[in-house]
Amino acid sequence: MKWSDLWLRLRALVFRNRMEQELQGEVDFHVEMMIRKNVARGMSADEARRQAAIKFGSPPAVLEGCRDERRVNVVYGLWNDVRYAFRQFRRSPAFVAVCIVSLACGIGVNTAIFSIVNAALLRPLAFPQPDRLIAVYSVNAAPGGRLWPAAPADFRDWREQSRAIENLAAYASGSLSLRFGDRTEEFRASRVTANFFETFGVQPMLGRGFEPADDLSQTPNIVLSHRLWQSRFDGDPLIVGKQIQTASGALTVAGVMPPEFKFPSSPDLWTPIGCCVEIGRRAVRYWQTVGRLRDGQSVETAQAELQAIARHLGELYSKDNSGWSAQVVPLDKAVVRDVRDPLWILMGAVVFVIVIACANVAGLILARSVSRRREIMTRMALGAHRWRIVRQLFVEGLLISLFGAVAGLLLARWSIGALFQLLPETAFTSLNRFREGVKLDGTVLLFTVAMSMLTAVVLTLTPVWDSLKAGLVESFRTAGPKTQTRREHRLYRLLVMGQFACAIVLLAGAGLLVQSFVRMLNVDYGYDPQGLSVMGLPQPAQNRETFVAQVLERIHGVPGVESAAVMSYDLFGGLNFPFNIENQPFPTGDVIIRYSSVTPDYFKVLKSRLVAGRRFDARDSPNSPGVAIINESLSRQYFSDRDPIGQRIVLSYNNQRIPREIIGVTSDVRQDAPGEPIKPEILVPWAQLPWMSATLVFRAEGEPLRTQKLVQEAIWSVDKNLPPGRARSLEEIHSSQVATPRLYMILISLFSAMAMMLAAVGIYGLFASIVTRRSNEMAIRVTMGACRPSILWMVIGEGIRLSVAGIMLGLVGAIALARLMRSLLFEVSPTDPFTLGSGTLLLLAVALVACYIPARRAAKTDPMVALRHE
Amino acid sequence: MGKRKQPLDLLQGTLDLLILRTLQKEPQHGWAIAERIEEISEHVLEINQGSLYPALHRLEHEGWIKAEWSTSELGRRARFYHLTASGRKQLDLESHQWDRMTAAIGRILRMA
Repeated sequence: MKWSDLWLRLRALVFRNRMEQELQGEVDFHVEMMIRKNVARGMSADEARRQAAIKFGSPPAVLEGCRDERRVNVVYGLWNDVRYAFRQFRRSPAFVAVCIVSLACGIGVNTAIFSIVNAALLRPLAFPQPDRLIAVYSVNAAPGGRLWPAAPADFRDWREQSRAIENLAAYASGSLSLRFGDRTEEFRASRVTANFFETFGVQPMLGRGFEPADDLSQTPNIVLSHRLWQSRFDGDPLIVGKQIQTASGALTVAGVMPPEFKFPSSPDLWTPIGCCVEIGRRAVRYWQTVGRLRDGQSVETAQAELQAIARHLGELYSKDNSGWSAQVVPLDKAVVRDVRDPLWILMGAVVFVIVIACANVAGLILARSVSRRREIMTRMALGAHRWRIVRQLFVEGLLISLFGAVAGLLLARWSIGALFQLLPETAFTSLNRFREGVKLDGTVLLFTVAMSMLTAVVLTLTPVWDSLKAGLVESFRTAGPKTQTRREHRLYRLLVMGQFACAIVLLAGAGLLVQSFVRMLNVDYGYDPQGLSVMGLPQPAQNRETFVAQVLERIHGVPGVESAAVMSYDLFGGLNFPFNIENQPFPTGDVIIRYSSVTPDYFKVLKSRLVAGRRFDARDSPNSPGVAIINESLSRQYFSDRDPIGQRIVLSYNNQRIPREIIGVTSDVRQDAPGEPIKPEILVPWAQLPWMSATLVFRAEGEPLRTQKLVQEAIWSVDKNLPPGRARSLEEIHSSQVATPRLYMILISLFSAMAMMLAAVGIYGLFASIVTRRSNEMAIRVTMGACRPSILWMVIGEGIRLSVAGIMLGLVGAIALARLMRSLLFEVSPTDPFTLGSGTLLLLAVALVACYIPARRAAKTDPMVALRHE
Repeated sequence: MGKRKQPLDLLQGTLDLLILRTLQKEPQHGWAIAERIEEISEHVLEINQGSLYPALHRLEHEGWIKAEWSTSELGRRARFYHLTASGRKQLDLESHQWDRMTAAIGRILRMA
């Protein structure tokens, strides 16, 4: 391209008005000169003007010719296309509204879900060199072995022996009560090894982190989170080195972490894990690990090395470690272990929604392009190039998808906020961890833009492809606008069929999740949750035995309280310990088993059934022989061939093996969320094994908040220095346990409702178009004596046939895809016939209603009106 | 103008040559170019405005002519076109080609 050329083009663009004026001025001058000449020849002024106009021809055509020569028409043309498209849109606002709403739904949900996927799965962890970070798990060689945390002793051996891992740190959950004046408050603490922060490569923003000395003895150092530092210490810049009081002594602030560091699950503060106390434990696995690979080492080399180390440990400590290996997992994978599958499933679901939305809009455009044939024929007759028409269609498709994208972005912005409202903050799920990271950032916007461009291409290509198949010109030439050809609606029919196929896949998925959720809500907990509450029970440093007895006695006096008991840790079977049978030890060594230490009234509070033997009572004192009660699951699993009563088991605890006699079997109590199986569990009397962390469980009538307050006062009447415990009703706990499945269920149901509505609009649009195009045929049928119901049924029958075909196609896909979501299902088979059947019926009903409206219109055709219209 | 002979259609591509040649002596506006061609050809060639102005803009686009606004002989502002250096070269080239072609065609008409 020459410079002058570029300049002219630029000038043409920038000084468009000036150039137009110049052109116009030139033409005007020419015409004027012609008139003068004519006048000079003796014509009258009017005749001179008339002859000049005749001779000159059409000024716009001349101007258009000049613009063409200047090659600025592409730009003008595009601008004209846009204006023309807007004119078209104004003429059919309903069409545009349906298109934009359809695309907004599709693009909106895709953007919203993608922003979560982006935050949780795509964005790298916010630590230096995040790809070097790993987690190491214990894994049992047994088939289907899940990943376990590490035993402290195993962790120490891994750390000492591994060369591939530069830094291996451990962390465990804990809590800490800090005293502010006369108030005591409990905070979530993460207990960590001294190298924890160093492993992440993150420095405290104030002070130092922990030092190796913190590992050796449990030093009274703590590191504050930015949040706690701000909220409780007003961001005191001199906080480092200051003392904070607790119930059991003073702690020193060793540092404050930067606001973005929240590992593992946004704790309030970090404390030393105190290696010296727990590091000898090999049988209990409860330390989580995080490590950094040495440069040049890969996950695979670390895996091979740790496997060898674990094998060696298995030989050395066959009692605790035989059959156990180690598994190295990249940290970014490890932190999203439980949300990855659900998120990809959700992403898959919303892709179905956008496909249905696109098919919907493509169908509408197709129907319109059929009725716009006359217009397009006219334009082609006037000399419009074929690609000009295609460009016009593309501009229209692009505009529609741009509007859809903008509306979709607004929808996504709003729905991301709403989505997390569905997830209570108390529900501990790893999805919650990404709450703050979910936003419409550049990646998400890029995704949205790419999606709307793709949409525009699909929307343009559909009518073009449809026409090309018949030959563009032919298709525009054939038939007047009122005759129906079979071929004409074939692509539209396929689109609607595809919509129904996609919709049934989503409906089937939603149905399965709803079924699962209903079953979760109706799951048998093995106890009556009505009126049941639990409350953390902090214990004083001294006289714990008498303290618990006193507290229980006072609580029994609280009005409304029916019964109360104390159990170890925070919920049923909250601890895991190795056990064995004394006379017939398992050949593979000890088995890890759920375990609780409980006061005698525990069974009465839960209203659990005694299956055999007796319950704990006053006979079971610290000095009497050790006893235990097992649950039905344990009895079934390990004593299926004999009476468990009187059998002796061994519990390993603190490197001691304590034998106990089974005195009773109690009915199963569900320890975990409904999705988890009921685990074998051992219960021992509190008197024989009091536990440092205790939980009060009580059943009360009346207003829970008031009762909880009275119970708290009863505890303080025994020891007023204790921090308050947090009380929760079992119903609250259950609802937070199912909060995540509930979220997935709501989302997928929402998506499938959208899919169903879009499919309904799709089939409605198809038949509305068919009925309009066939109004002649209908009129003739009526004239020839067809009764109206037969016409009604003819149209509805066609609709049903079409939707059934789509649904059948979709069911095959639904059955194939449902297996992928097995991990989200609870007590429901992926091919549950009831779910698939009811989804099919629902969708058919919707299709029926959607076809009925145009069908009724067809049946009401007045032959005179329809034929006269021709 | 009834009895006059029907003007001839211009051969493809000759309009450019005629415009360039008309502008060789002095700058002209579109109207004068058309008038001059018609005059000199004794109304055998008639310029269609639908092709004159696009042609002028095409030549300007090619950089062979340049346009400037100035006052016409009747005191009205008009767009005057003049040849550029490359336009002169183009004129030489095209008239040479034209000579060769008409000579060739003439020979064929005489001899064949």
